[in-house]
Amino acid sequence: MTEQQQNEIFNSWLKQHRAILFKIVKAYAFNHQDQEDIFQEMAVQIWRSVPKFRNNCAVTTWMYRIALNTALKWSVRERKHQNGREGLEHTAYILTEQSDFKDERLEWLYEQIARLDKVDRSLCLLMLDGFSYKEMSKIVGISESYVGVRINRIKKHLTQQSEKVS
Amino acid sequence: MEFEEMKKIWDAQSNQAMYAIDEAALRNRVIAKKAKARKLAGLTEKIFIGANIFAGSIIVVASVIKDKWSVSGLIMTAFMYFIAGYIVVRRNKRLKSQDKFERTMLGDLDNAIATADYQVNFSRSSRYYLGVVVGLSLTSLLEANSPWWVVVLAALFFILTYIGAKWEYRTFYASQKKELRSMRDKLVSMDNDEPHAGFDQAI
Repeated sequence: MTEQQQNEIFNSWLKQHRAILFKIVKAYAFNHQDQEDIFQEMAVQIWRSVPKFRNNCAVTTWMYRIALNTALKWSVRERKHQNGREGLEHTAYILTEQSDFKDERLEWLYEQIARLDKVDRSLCLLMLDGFSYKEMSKIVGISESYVGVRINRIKKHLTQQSEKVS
Repeated sequence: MEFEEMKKIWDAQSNQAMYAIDEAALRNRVIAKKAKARKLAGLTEKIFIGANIFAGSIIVVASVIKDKWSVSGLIMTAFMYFIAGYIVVRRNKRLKSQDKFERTMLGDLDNAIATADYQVNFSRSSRYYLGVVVGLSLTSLLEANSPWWVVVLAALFFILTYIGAKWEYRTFYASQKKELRSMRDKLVSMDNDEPHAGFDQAI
């Protein structure tokens, strides 16, 4: 695969499925600089993964796996090296938040997702995006029944939290 | 709020643009990161291989020029060439093993843990290696009847290097490995869960 082909595929993936990355960014990073950093890291990892994609799963499944894994590893690394960002302050910002899109209930939901542990956060995002247990099991690498147990627990937790608010 | 309602709120955002992307800036960033990743890959190994070959060769060249051969110098040269070769073999093994992991998050975590394991072992072995080099270097200095303060300075330098290596090991490698392992444990553990029919006990 030439670099040009790789770029073309990456651009089309990003154009069609950018919402996946945005959701993960919001669930794992809580200030603009971190969101920039995690987004860039995910974009780089997805770009690098393009030649390895063999069409044996949906592009969304592939992107979710790479992006979630990057987010998990980013959060481990970031906690250790809070000052170790690669001169991000000297680079142009890539993401600009669209201020006209605000929904309090959605913000609340993101807040609840952020309070889950890192692994449950991944499963919660996949669940909300309508992935089946089988697909989640393939992305995360745990059995379907195990996914089911954790998803039930997350649903129960979210519903309880919402009852507390109301 | 019921879960179905949460799902509706969630789905509604997919039709909106949460962020705008500056695509040109992103492209530049991808290119820059790619170059950096290539540069950093295995940098420690390359430095070790190069430094050992260089240092070993310096001892040989100096001995040839002076026509003066010491036992400790010869042992150190052989040791340094051996270590360089050993790192090359281990590096190749590490690079080959990267493809054997499953393409899942768990597989990726296992891969990251294997890499962290490798770094931890590499860092630990480096300290043992330093011990051998210290022993041989000090013997060499004593054989050459070097002044006492040179021996003390060399010993001090090696002690500081050892402390630095240990700090690096604890701060970066060991703690990162511990965190990756705890993340993996979280992924496969069922702490505080109620019994569930059909749960895969094998996990």
